Order: sequence, then C-alpha cells, then structure tokens
Amino acid sequence: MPINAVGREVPSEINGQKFKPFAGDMKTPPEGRRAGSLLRMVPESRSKVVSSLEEVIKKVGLEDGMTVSFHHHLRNGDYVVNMVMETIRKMGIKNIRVFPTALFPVHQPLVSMLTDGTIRRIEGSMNGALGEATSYGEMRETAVLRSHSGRVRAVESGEVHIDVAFIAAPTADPYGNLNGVDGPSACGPLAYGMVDAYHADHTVAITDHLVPYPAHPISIFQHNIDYVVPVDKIGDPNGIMSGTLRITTSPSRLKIARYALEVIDKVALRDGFSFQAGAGGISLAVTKFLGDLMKKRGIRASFINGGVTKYVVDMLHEGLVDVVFDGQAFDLDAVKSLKEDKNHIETPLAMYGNPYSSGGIVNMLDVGVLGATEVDIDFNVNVNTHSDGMLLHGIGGHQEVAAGSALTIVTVPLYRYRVPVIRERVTTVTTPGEVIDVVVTEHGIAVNPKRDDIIEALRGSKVPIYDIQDLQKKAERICGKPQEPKTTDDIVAAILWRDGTVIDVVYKVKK
Amino acid sequence: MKLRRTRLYVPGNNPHLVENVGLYGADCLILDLEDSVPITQKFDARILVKYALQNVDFGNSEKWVRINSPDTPFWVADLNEVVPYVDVVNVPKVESYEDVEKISKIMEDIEEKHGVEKIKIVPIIETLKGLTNAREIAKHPRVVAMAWGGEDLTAELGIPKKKALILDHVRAEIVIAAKSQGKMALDTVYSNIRDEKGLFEYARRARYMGFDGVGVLHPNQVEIVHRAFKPEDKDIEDAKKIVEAAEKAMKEGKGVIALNGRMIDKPVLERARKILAFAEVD
Amino acid sequence: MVEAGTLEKGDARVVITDADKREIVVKSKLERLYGDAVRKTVEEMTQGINANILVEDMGALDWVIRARLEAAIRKFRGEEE
Repeated sequence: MPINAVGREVPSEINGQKFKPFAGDMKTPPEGRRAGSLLRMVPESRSKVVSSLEEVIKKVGLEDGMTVSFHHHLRNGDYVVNMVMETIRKMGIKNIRVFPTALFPVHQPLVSMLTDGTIRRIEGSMNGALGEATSYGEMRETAVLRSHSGRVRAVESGEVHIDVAFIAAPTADPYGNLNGVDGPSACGPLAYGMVDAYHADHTVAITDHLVPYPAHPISIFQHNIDYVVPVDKIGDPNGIMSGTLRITTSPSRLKIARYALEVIDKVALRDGFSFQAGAGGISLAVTKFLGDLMKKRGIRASFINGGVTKYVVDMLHEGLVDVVFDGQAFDLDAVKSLKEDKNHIETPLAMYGNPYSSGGIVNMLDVGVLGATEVDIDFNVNVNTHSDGMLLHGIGGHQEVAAGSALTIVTVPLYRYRVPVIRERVTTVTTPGEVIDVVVTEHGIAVNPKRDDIIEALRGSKVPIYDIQDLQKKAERICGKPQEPKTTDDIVAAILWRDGTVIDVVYKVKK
Repeated sequence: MKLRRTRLYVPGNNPHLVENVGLYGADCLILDLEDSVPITQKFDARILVKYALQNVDFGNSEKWVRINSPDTPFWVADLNEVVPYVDVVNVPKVESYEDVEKISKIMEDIEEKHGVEKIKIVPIIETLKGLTNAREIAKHPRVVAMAWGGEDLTAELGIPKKKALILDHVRAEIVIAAKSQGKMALDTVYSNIRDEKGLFEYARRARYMGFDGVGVLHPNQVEIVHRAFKPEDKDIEDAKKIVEAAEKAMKEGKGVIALNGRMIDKPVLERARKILAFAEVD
Repeated sequence: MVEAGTLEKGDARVVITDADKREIVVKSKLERLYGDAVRKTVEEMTQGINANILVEDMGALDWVIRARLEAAIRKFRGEEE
C-alpha cells in the first residue's frame, strides 16, 4: 500500500473503486466533467403525492445493490432514515449502499441491518452505535467517510452515484417545492439535501407538513423532486433543535475560549473580517466573546458562516455582522431569523468548500475555530476516532474550514480526563497539519512553525506560547502514556480528504 | 512583594476541580478541607489534598490549605497530612492568640519531623471573641495575614447577614488589627459568582477599605478582582516618581528623600512601592 | 469492608474487603488506554495486603488513584476516620 503525504499507509482500492493517496491540499487536480442524473418526463398529474413509502420505493424501482441518500438536518431527532430503511428491509431489498450526510445515535436500528444483509456499507459520518459496530467489523464492506464538501465533490464528480435521494422536508407542497423553515419539524436550511436533489436519479421528499401549492419560501425547487410522501412525523423537534445552547461554564474551557479570542484579536480582527461559527461549547463561547469584543471596539464583520445559533443571530440583529451564511441551524432563533431576515442567507452545500469548484465560502473566511479529538506534534488533527481506535465521529466541515480559513485555530483541552489530546501521533488523520495554524489549550497555545507571521503578530500578547512538543510532553507528564489501540490489520473505514484522496484508514478494533 | 489579591477556594475532595487549579492565575489557591467537604469525606479529602499538593502544578500561586477549625476533631489530622507540602495553613474560627500558638506547636513537630521550613498561618476571624482578640492574634509571628467571615458573627448577633450593618465595622477592625502589625488584611468572598459588575465594585470597596485581597469562589472571578485592585494610571505614575526619587537619594547617600521640593515620608514611599506591586497585573 | 473515593468523573472508588489472600479487580472507564497502568499502581500499593481490592476508575489521574488507595488502605488497617 502506498504511503501518503501525512505518512500513512493507505489502500489504492476501496470497495473495488480506485483512490489516490493524499498528496497535500490542492495537490491533486480534478479530472473530467460534472456528473448528471437521469433526464425525466414531466409527470402527467399535477400532484406528485404518493401515499406510502413502500409504494414510492416500488415506483422508483429500488433494487438490490443500489445507493440511497439522506441529509442530516433533523440530526438526532430524525425519523426518516429509520423509516425508509425499515421499509426497504421489510421489502426484502438487499445490499444497499447508504449514503447519508451524517448519521446520529438515533439511527442505531441500522446496526442490525449491517448483519442481516440489508446494508452492505455506509458512506458517511456515523456518530454513536453505528460507528462502534463499524469499528468491530460488523459492516460487510468498507465504510467511506467524507467531509461535507468532500461529499458534494464525490456526487458532482460521479465518484458516488445516488440512485434514490430520500429528502426529509419540514414543509412541502404536492408538486415538490420544499423548505425547512416551517412546519412542526422545522430545521432551518435544507442545504445538505440540495446536491442530492440535483444529482440523484430519483428524488423523494418525505414531509409531515404538506401545504397548498406553491410552498414558499423554496429551498429545493419542484423540478428536481419526483415524488412527495406525506407521513405523520418526520422527526422529534427536541432532537432536531438543540434547545437553548449554553456557553460552557467549565473554567478551563472558558480559558481556552479566551486564549482563542486573544489570538483572533491579535492576528485577524479588523473591520470587514469574517469567521466560521459552530455549536460546540468552546466555539459558542468564542463567538459570544468575539461579539462582545467587536461591540467594544466598534468593529463590524462582513459575514459569519455557520453553524447558526442564537449567538450568531444576535450579532446579526445588533448590526455586528452584515451577512450570515447558513448551512445548518441549531436553534429556533436561527430558524426564525433565516425565515425573516434577508441578510440571513441559506447556502447550498455546494457553495461551502468543494475544492473542485470555482470557490466556496470557506475560501473567503478569515478565521475558523475548530475542535478535535486529538492533535499531534505535526499539527495533524483527528476528529474521527477516539484514542482507543474506535470510530465515533464524522468529519463535518472540519477539512474545508481548516483548508479555507486564513487563520485556522483548533481549540482543545490538553487532556480529557486522563486521555492526552496533544499526542505524538494522532490515532487517525482527518485534517493535515499543513492547514492548521494555531492550537489553543487551557495551558497555552502552539503556533505552526510555518506561520511566522502569526508568531510575529502575537508578540507582546499575554497568551503563553509553547512548542507543540512541549504541550505534548506536558500532557503525557500529567496523564502518563496511554496504551496503543488494540487493532487488527483489517481496514473498516477510509477517511478521504476533501479532494477524494485517501488521508487515512481506520482499523478493526478487537473486542 | 508577594501579592494575595485573590485566594481561590477549591473543594478538597473533588479531584477534577483540584487538578486544574494552577491555570487560573489566582495569587493563592486554597484546597479546602472545611466547609466544602462533608464529614463522611474528611478522611479521603485530606489524603487527596496531600497528593494534590505534591502532584498538581500550582503555577505561580501560593499553596494554601484550609484545615478544619480547632474546635473539631479533625484539625490535627489535617495538619499531619498537609503541613509538609503547603505554604500557608488557613485556620477557621480562630478566637485567641493561644489558638494560634496551639496550632503552631503541632506544626512545629511536623516541620521538624519532615525537615521543612516554618509554614505560615492565616487565621480567619469568625466570632465576636475572635474579633475582640484580633489585634493580639495578628501579633503571632506565624501569622502573615488575617481573614474574616461573617456567617457565625451575624448569627451570634441574631441579625440576618445580608442586612447586617455591623460588617463594615468588622472589616475596619480586621484591617486595623492586621495592618498595625504589618500583616495583610484579606476580605471575605463575594458569593454571587454571576455578578461581574457587583464583584468589581465589591473588590474596589475592599481595596479602599484597606484590604490587600478578597476570597474568590470561581476562577472567572480572579481576573475581575485583579483589575479592581489595579491602581489608576495617575497613581502609578506618581508612585514611579517617588520610588525613583528614593533610589536616587539612596545612591547619593542622602537621608532625606525629596520630590519637587517636598519631603517624602516612609509610609508614603511604602504606599508607592505597594502601588507599583499591584500595578504589575495582566 | 472499607471504601474511599467516589464514582464522579475523574475520580476513583476503592473498596477493600477481608479475604485470605490478595485479589485485585480493576474496572476502568479507560480500560483500553490505561487498564494496565491502573493495575500496576494497585499492584504496587497493595503489596502484602490480603484482601479483596476493588478499584473502579472513572478516568482518574494516577495520583488520584494513589490517594484513594492510600485512604482505603489506611482505613482497612484500622485508622480512625
């Protein structure tokens, strides 16, 4: 197996498909043309409503071995994935490739479908029980994990062809116009579903809020939707929305947020700057503190890309930022603002960070603040596996935000309980050190040596600056050296860089 | 000059809270064996604190332990575990010079056995008796600072703590008792950890009352208190001039320090030095 | 039977009960990463103690485990609480 640019041995063939080893960001140019979906004839009826999932699955002609896709806007409140997959299982259709934008703990029922022959593999982020089952080798084929934008690229390039896209729609009309801002299961944007709607051979909207034609506003347009299936409920609002997201109260996490703020202040804060917001505890704190600082200094941002929460919406409404780009809404304030404020813009995921496009939002970002499970002394980041080798998280937008932002900050505690976060070598490389600029811990920060300009800008700052090796040693001194993961040589998952090259693999964990 | 603007209380039997104490920049860190530890956990806590004192990075902070008060059955055992590893023993409910002496004697034996230097004591005055003896207590050579608490005092007087008008008098008495012996005076905690503005005003008030620091319950309070104790720019400028004049006078072998034609007295010079010490904050 | 410590995150609980010979049971939240390290510490600190020793580790640092072990051992040897 070839060794890639971050020193990992990776296969050149996965599930019978050829892949190149990771060569560095923007080092592998694209080939070919954008892939398309089937052309279709306008339906005879003025209604695309089909009464049951079983009926629609028959109509689209889903067969053994095909690929079905889902979006994850309903997050851990989603009913649609389980509902569709259970119907497929009951109909006796086998060997399905499931291609979600992400799966959550609520999708645990799919675990049994890995062994009963319904699912041959999942290509997408798996949080929780599915990741665990995959780690133990219960998936027949190899899982493939891509970032949000990497997934868009895979669809557009034809690396993955979707036979049927099942699109959860909080609001739909009978002719297939969809939005996510109204209805009992409102989730905000439908950004993750758009690529699938354009590129799948067959598209099915599933809704619990059928409204008279035309539904409006429109996120996904009627000419891309073949069928509309009304059901009782597409999700549980408590799992879709996070409730009021609270800023971390942990003093050590707040300390990390304050150090990150100081770095942003010294390096990037100026009128018209832009940043990526998120919903993690530290990220939320950074957003809030940044808003306070901007107010104090009289600074206005040009845009925030989110991961939109109440904290971002407040900044928009206080005039601290001109535009909010919204690919995902985390609370009802964000949904309401998306619906009502013209400066709060729903962005298709294809516009986010696809490296094989004419440029995404991430390429205009000044500051990205990201989390990690582990970081190593080469600044490589792992967000996929735990230190014991278990695959438990997806990539999200980590890769493209890191690659695109002018200043990429990774905020992590030095250790979590007894587990060191700054390691000699990460268990799995998700994002290469070449696109990480600053690592911020509660003990101090480390700056990637290739960023002299940042070290210079931080001169005279109160934040303690260390060599990353010293932070790693400090973590090991406090925690002791952990045991190596007990894994076999069997590859259970491949981690792709956003350009489709293989950056790392995940091995089967011994029970 | 050693500053004691903030002393952060950390419950002694909670490893997760104890292990990060060095991060928050408090001048003093108090691992608490008293109020934050239930009676059934006293034994475990003093051993955990003993290990914490030896294994946790305290940064530049002074290491304190608040032991149980001399009227409990726990205080001697507390001292036995912690004295070899601590900088300051914080003693609640001290009522007399004899109380301090009693503790000091026990500490002496432990210090001798372990070959460590004399450990400092900061008594907490919490009763009317303690208050009447405060000036005597402050004279004990091990005492480097004096703190106080209002709970028992107001209970003794039968008045609600929040409304007690006498507390400002108590504060004044503590400051006078401590300062007249050249010791530090330390104000009690501000318990509403969410009220940042209130804390700042509280700490400012403590400073103008003559205190050298206040107790803090949450790491987020540390920076706010340090800001409150930071002297105004104008005072820092004046202090610099006074100290420079003193240094100049010393170099030239002059007995009298003069600045702009005026003589500088010793307490004024001392105050100037103190202002500069307090000025060196983040 | 004596015990020390808690089952809070980052802590460890030690239970020692009478027995004819030493028997150590370690249940660690971080078994895959620190199981061996915890067992080594327990082994080392309980030399010569003929009792059943149960350690439930909630992700505690080594010095915390040592503190909890020392507390339990001293209680087991009859020190007053």
